Amino acid sequence: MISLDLASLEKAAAQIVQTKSAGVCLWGSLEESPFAGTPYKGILTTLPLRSVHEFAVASDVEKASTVPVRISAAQRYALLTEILAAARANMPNLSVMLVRLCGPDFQVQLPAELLAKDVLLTYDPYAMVPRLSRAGRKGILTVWQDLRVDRVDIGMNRVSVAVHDADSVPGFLKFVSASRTILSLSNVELVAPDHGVGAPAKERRQ
Amino acid sequence: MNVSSLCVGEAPSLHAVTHWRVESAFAAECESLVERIGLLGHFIAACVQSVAGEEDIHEYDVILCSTYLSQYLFVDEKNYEALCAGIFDGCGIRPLTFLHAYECAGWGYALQFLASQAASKRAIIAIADIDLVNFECFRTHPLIGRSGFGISALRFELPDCQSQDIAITDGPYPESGFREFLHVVRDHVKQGDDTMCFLPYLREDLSAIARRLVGAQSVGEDRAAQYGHCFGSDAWIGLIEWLEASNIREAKTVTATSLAYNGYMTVCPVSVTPETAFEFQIVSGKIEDLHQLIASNQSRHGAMDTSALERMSA
Repeated sequence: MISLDLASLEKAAAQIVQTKSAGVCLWGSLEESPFAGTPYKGILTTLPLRSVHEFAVASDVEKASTVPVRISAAQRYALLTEILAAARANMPNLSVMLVRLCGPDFQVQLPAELLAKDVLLTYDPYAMVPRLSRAGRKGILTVWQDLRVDRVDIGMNRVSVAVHDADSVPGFLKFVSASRTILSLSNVELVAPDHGVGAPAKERRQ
Repeated sequence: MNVSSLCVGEAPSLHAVTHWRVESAFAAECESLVERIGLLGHFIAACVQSVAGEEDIHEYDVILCSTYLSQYLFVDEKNYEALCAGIFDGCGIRPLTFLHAYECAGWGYALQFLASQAASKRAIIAIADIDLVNFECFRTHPLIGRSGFGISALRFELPDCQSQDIAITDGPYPESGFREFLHVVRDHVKQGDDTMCFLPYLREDLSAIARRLVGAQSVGEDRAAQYGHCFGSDAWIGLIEWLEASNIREAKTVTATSLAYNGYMTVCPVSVTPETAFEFQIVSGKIEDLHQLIASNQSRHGAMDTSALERMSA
């Protein structure tokens, strides 16, 4: 666990950049809803299942979840939009943002901020980083999340943001200490970014 | 939307396009979802291989897009891994990434991103829309009509224009952005010297509006009655049928388009030549038929590792 004040972040980041990696990654989890007490439009729908086969498939994918927070798809978009806005405001060399979104929520429209040309909405943002680095691109921000929303969802409410070159680290630290969404996370850690495929630092996902 | 920001005179060159339509439930005989997803991976790989032909696939940036791969793909991380493992077994690469959030417009966002952010020169876009769970409610939509499932692969050479766009990607707009989409298409078709424009397959009344506004002579045939709405593949099926019918003798620039249900659009000029390879096949979703198509593709396009596929059949 690390405190999200700038001085503590700078100290921790300096150690990571010196010893392990050019970039840094911040991990945290959503333990309390940032929207607590605020009514919101429910968009939960059910599939019109009819046959035995359909019910069997649907019950096969049911999974019990112990995560304490569930948000709506629109709220998830709002959190991601706030993260990107804070990054834009605080990272002068920000060049491209890779954001994890697993699929369309057909009931909710993506906001313009997530459809921006320097944003890519993808299942596995980390997989794209080596390719962009090869093209000489710096200032890459990855936003990985599995925030659990109202539908069939295996989200564990984890959020991770990372940059992948040393020059981006000072702006990144300002960004994470200014983002309301990041500040609302618990169990925050600063680590070296994992360039593995899919979820970063898979061992954290146990 | 400022159409003049498009890379003037240089459209992505389409070297090969394939669509494999799946007529019935995909591999319904597979009892486990993860096995069915693995087979889909092989199926996508074979389709990608069909557009790669003799080219070294490792020279290409390969992105997978989808609107309708069921959300059940994401109910277990093993499922996505099985999809990528199937693709890797089949053609020796993992897709660079998988785009789902942009719905039918994903292929345009992929092309635009690759050109502007990764300086990509060669790209293969795979569009996979398969109903993995065979639910009746996925077969029609009250606004869109009947669904058509299948996969497409597109092989492009991209122009060098990082400072300009190669595709119009825009949104979100209200009411699925239908009005804004048609205006952008109409303005784009008027501005350029494009010969043809391929629109999404639409409900009959919407299609009539589109043809009236854009100009029926410039619009590819709407095949919704025969194929249903095939998500991001509509424009490419239209282009394949047009290439087959028109037997072009010189390079032409056409316009491919897609519109997402939630109001995001792609309008993309594409250059085709008499050498552009095209293929359209219809296959049932039975495992035996899927394997046969994969195997026949393998014999045309050289060896690939089919040991995993054989294990699956055993």
